[in-house]
Amino acid sequence: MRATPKNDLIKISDNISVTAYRTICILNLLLKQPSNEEEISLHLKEQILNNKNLSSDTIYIYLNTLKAIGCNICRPCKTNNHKYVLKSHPFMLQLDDNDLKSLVQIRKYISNLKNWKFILEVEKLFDIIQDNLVMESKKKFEKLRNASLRYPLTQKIIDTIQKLESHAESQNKLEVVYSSPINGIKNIKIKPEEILYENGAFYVHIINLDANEAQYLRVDRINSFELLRNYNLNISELPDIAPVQYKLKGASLYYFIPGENESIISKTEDEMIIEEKITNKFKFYQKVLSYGYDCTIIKPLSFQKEMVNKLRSMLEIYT
Amino acid sequence: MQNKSKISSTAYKVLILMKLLNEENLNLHEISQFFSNQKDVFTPLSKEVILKYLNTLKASGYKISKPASSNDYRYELIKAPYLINLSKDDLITIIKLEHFIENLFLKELDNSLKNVLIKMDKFLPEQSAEYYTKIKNALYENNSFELNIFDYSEYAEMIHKFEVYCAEAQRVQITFKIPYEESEKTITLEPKELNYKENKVFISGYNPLNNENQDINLQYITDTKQLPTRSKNTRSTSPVIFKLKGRLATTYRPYEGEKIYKDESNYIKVYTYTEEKNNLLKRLLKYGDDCEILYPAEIRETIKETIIKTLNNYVN
Repeated sequence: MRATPKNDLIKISDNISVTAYRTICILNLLLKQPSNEEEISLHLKEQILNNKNLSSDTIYIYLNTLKAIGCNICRPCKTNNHKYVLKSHPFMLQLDDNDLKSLVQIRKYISNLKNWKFILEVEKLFDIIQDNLVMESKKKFEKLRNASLRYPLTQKIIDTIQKLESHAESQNKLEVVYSSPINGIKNIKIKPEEILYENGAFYVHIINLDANEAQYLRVDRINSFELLRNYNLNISELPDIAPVQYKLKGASLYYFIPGENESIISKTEDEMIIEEKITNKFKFYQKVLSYGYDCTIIKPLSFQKEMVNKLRSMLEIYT
Repeated sequence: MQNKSKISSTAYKVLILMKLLNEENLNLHEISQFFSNQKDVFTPLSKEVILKYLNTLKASGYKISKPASSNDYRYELIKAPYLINLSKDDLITIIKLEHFIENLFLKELDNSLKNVLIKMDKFLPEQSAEYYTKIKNALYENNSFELNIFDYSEYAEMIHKFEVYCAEAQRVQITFKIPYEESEKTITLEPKELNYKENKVFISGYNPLNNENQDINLQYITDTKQLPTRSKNTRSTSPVIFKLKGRLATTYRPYEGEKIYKDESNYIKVYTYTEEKNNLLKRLLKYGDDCEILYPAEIRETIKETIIKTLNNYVN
């Protein structure tokens, strides 16, 4: 896109530099579209009153002037349909190091929000900013952005997220080809529930229809998926959500914020009893372990036993 | 400037002027100064020649403001030669971004974002600027940002104070009282950055006395005093080393300030330098028996004690 030129034809006068005017006309034309010599000549005629026909040599001089200022203009050849193509120019947005670092810092703060939609919106905006930066700033911004990501965010991941969200909304069932770090590539029948963003990665919370349990799949590990059109699933077949009660005490009391599936059953100055409807056991144990000795699972017994087994196995490492 | 004989010197100078005005607003003296300072490339330009060049730009369709006291007698290229097309959704994202940063109460970062947006404004078509103002008013009027930002207003003053401390890179003496501990503590910190976790704000930094990284909840800070010693911009020189196995070893991606070494096929060793000790312990506990702390011995002992005490919760 370029600045809007005046509609009136320009008269050659002492008040402007015609050579410069013509050169800028060519720049504006190339900003709009790739053009060949004939189109450039015609464009100049349309812009200047009584403009004489310009020789090829004169047009080359104008193009060379643009190159001298820092425009990267490809020569006409078969691949570009014999047109001059403006690849880059020095009139793009220029941001200094402090601006670029601030943008990356802002993105870091946004990832704490866990609002995956906003994260994607900001990524799209940053892509546009990056594409419109002068070459030096562009390279720096790209480097800073890549260095700050734990997991690279590709267009394929963005497309997969958007499609999965749409399938989750429509309550569709899918067969995904998943690249598991342990079992290699495998096909899983799933019902996607929601998209999540955690620790720098996008996940989809799913019901694994074969295993009949809730799981989390990392979106970047999903190679492809297909809609399961005739898969019958009775709602009663969906995994039970197990209620588990645990007790919190000490410093953890000060940091506890109930999650979506958690409710506080009782609370005193020294302890709190919380009930959680577990959708994913793995994540639950991770959380409970992170509380350390501030947390004790109260019921059911099966969860207590599993917790004790986990702790014993951890202790073995250090004895 | 290459191949002087094959370019138009006047057009080149006008394009240089366009590039200069695209980057910053300049007065006649500054423009003249620029060309005079590069005597090997340009001959000095008279006032009349500069005005002629400015007229050429105006004739080419570029709006240039007239010098006046309000703009410090500078010429301003109102719109850049190259404009950026942003969709309505992109403009909404910008407004949401502004709202988000405002609500973190980080004044310096807020100013930096505003500075970027001022620079971008020149590159936006006029209709985008109009739509931006319209939608911004509507979003603020209806408070319809849908970002679910926690309310950090009670820490606003302290956030700003620490933001300045971080920028000035001076050591700070911090006194704080954690509710479940009996007495106040006073430490020296080289503040690095503010971190937001759920509804809490922490100042993260390096404690030079115990050679550890430390996070302090702003809520518990009772007093701060900037010290006359500059921060040495150091981080903990002594890493915490842990070993990961199984699935974690194959999928693990390093956090900020971490380095991974693969020494055996089924294991990886992670060296971490920046994470605060308590946060690190909580994270490593999550990894269960897939993780073993190797170094230092006291943290290895701490995690062992934590596991034993947790197991004791289930006795009887």
